[in-house]
Amino acid sequence: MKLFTDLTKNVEFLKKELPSSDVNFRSIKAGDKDGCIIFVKDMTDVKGVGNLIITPLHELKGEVSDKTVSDALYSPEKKQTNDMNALISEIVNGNTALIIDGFSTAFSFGLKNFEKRPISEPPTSAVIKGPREGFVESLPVNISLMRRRLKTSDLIFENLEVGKFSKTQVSLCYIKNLADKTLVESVKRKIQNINIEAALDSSYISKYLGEHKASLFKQVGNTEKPDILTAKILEGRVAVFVDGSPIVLTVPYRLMEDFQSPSDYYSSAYSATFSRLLRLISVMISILVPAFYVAAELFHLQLIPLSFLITIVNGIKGIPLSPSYEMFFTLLIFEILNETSVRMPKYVGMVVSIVGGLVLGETAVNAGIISAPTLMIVALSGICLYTVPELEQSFSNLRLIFLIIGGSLGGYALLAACAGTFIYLVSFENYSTPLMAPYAPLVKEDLKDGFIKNDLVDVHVKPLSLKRGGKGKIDKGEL
Amino acid sequence: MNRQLKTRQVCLFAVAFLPVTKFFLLPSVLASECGRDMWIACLLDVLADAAAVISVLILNSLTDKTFFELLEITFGKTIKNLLLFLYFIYFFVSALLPISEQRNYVDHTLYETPPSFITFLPFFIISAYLGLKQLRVLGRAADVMWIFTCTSTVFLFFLSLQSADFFAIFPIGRQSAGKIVSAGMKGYGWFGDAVYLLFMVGRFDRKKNDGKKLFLSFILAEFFVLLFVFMFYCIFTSISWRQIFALTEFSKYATVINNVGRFDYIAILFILFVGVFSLSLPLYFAVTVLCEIFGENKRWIFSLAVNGGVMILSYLLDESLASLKQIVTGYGFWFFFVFGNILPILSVFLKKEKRKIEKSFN
Repeated sequence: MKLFTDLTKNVEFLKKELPSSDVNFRSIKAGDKDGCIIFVKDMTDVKGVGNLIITPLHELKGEVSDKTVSDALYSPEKKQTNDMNALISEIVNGNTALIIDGFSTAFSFGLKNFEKRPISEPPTSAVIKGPREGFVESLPVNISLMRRRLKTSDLIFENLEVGKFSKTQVSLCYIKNLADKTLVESVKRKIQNINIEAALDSSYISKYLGEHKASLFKQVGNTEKPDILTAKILEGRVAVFVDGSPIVLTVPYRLMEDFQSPSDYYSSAYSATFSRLLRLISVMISILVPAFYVAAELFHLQLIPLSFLITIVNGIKGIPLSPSYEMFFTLLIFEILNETSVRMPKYVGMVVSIVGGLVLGETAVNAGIISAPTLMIVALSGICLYTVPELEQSFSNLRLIFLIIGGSLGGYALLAACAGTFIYLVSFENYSTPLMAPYAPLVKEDLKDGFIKNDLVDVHVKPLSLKRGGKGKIDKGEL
Repeated sequence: MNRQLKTRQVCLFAVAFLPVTKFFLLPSVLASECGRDMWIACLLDVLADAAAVISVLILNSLTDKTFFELLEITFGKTIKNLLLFLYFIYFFVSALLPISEQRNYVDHTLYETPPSFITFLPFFIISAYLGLKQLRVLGRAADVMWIFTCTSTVFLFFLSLQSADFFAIFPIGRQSAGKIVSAGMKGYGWFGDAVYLLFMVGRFDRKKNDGKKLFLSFILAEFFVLLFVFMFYCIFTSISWRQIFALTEFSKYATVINNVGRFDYIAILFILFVGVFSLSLPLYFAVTVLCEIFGENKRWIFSLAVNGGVMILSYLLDESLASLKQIVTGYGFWFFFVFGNILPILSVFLKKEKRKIEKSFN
């Protein structure tokens, strides 16, 4: 819909479309003409409106035109539009609109001023060494954090909008010539096809970026740290920023990514290798030990060393539950405690941990409801899982599935389940990138940044297992 | 897409998957026939397989076509389908004994409590699931699985070194040549590995020297078996023939196990883990053959049918492992030898279109 040339009609229309009380309509005089400034009070830099718009307009004398008004205004971010819907969109986005009587176009000025959370270290990826900055909820701030790190004209941000009501700004970020064009197009197409009412966080978008709808495993990478994101997009990935979310999404995703911690790159190759192997072993312990323990207790006692077996037998004497139920319920209690401590306020959460972990556990063992080895295994499994917090959700589900299989069918069925999971993982691809690369398929060059990490000077900048543009593009057959 | 594998993956496929199924019943079968010369019988099987592998590799170096395409070019579609159907029967039958022996091994050795009949069921579910996947998935699995096969086997060898009496194999060749050959014939049911390579012809890229690498990897896989058989006799000597499922006993007498406990089970579990893939191979190729004859779009039906069929048969033959063994090691020899060895050797004579020469040898 086009703007009217009559100011009153425009103002009446806008008042009808924007009835909310926080939308301000301020009449002004610009030379010989009347005008109106429209802005959302709590989203606008009011001082800026006064200094950059109202004052210069008051200084105008005599007859004014589009050009004289435009030249007189100091605001650096200035747009002109004759579309009423576009103007409304500008106002609800926090920009300031100016309509002048007799003009067929309106002006909009980028004078947003929100309350923002200051840049701080993200709680999910704290480091001992290395940068501590994390992304915040403001998209412009996040973009500036990236621009500060990559001072190149090849760094591209493409803006899109998602959400029927939220009109959330989503920004695609990649490096021209490094990111594969078809990958960029594919991500863009998927975002454009999202049909939801509101995108309140990047996790809403991530559901639409995955290529397998019912997958148990993560399909989209994410990070809260600009230094990690910089490294990822330098590897040819595409990042997706969502306004209002400090978590930035990246595609394509490989499972190995979550075993790589930012601190690995700021410490020696030896300690990074040790940490990564430790994470791998921890994850394996976490997923498999509860199931194998139950299977061994029920079906394969010969697997347990004799001295340990005697301890277990003494421990489980008088326990009313079968080993499978015992492990299942203990894991369930652990998950409940976990859920509660996350939801509770910080200090209450600590109390819950102490009461749940120490008092409840100790009492349950003393009362003979659960055995000490079971409690120890659940605790070990729970702790180990958090060595790779990004995969906690997928792996805790897997742990439960394995426990049910191990407890009902024994060790061989568990091995078969592991083989099935492995087949699933190696056949899994997202945006033509195998999830299990660089191990399955084996990509020799990429192993340098695998579980055994080479020194930073030897590490290939762009992993070959990622589909990428420019020189050195590899065909799928190579994988 | 034909080229789904890299040469590396075919090499690792051989090293990872081929030795595993031969660690259970085969050594005792060979030992019962020719005692301390069992390793020579095993060597005969290895040599027979090596000849077939060489032949298939020559074929592979001369053509870009797959085995299916070559059959069609040479014999036409009808004969090709007939031959493939015979291969389907071969794969189906050759899966029976290893699966039954592994099932018996799992039931009798691994489970202390009487296992239920569904204990082994997950294997068939996983095998059916694998049957739905492209060959590429097997290649990717091999990229990782070879680590498990090699480390577990070497670990078990290392543990058993102490209890092995290497002089037990002397004097070499005490058994008559006839007995050794007869033992080799009885053991051939577990070999015939060249047939997998034959079905992968034209499905992987090749560069200069790849033939050598492929040959060496197949030989390495069989060398593991030869070494296992050799060590097996050195450990159990005259009672070797009674050790039906010796994998569990193999390293039992190591001093370190007496002190620490049966941590050798970790290696055994790894071998069983890889074994899930190894045992699925004949079933996978049986499904592939059916898909080639009747069309790829029914793959899931074929996978369910083949795995379901083998599962039912293996349950029906629950108490008949000895009879099954007798068939495979007796009358079955010619069947396995023709499809697993003679036909792969003869495949080199299939009509071929000239291979496009690859100029880049990087």
